[in-house]
Amino acid sequence: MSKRFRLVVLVVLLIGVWAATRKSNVSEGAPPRETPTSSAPREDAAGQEGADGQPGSAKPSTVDKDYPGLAQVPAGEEREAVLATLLRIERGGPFPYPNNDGVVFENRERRLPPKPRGFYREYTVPTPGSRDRGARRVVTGGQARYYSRNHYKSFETLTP
Amino acid sequence: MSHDLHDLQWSSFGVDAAAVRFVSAMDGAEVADDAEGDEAEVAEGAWDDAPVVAVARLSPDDLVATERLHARLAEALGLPSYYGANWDALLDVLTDDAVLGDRRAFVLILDRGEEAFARAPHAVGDLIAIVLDADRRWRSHGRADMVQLLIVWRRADRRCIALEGTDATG
Repeated sequence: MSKRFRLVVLVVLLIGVWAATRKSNVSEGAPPRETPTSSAPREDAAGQEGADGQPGSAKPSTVDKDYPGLAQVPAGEEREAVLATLLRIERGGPFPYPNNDGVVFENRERRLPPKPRGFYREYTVPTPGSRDRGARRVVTGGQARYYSRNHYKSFETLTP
Repeated sequence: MSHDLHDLQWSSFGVDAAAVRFVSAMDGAEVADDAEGDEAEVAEGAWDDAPVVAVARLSPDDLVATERLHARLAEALGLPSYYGANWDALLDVLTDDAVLGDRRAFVLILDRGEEAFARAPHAVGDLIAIVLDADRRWRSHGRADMVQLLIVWRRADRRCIALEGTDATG
């Protein structure tokens, strides 16, 4: 009784081992053909990151959702600095330049959508190694977030 | 078309702040010699006693071409290399302690005021508005007369606000 039972167990085990090795052979042999649909978008995303020069700079998915325009900011130091400023704004500070951070942005050149006076506020994005405040700013208006790397000459929309 | 002070819509600029003054003079350097009366003496004294300030002297031509205006401001005031040469950038640097450095104030002098108003009314209006905004921000930190705009008016006029009562010494 027990001998027969052992034989069954052995046979089942052998079948299991055979199936496992067969499966691993298949998946090793043909990974690209096996998952063409799921790997395609990943390759695209990796390609975009690679073009920015910083593959694999992982950031929480909530950031992608909250600041979709952040992808337009070059990855690496610049994107991290902008993100750090955005998070400081969400937390309400403390800010590196208390006299200038959080002041009203007048939008006198009208490079952002026209709004009543006092709608926009601006915050410095510190430039590492710079002794002055540098050219980089985040401007907020309601839920919207904008970024200028060239002292208000042009803006990227981080959050519409 | 005349450009007397009372022809202008001052209320739209809110020009009651001390930051914008009208100087009755032919030419800044000749204030003491040409102009008559108390105003001239006050003006002369004010300049003699003035601490080191960052001065930009602007002509009507500068106001007509804003690229030229910003280049001139950048050079005269020693603005940082990142200066964006636009109105928003100007307000930003005029309210930055680090840009001011060890100088006491920013002083902008607009020569031939009548001509500037006639040829570039919007630019002059923007410039006045920015100076007033900048002045307001410094005052909110308890610092007065950090940004001043002197508009030099060719014609002596009782309505002109001279340097009288300014605290350039203070």
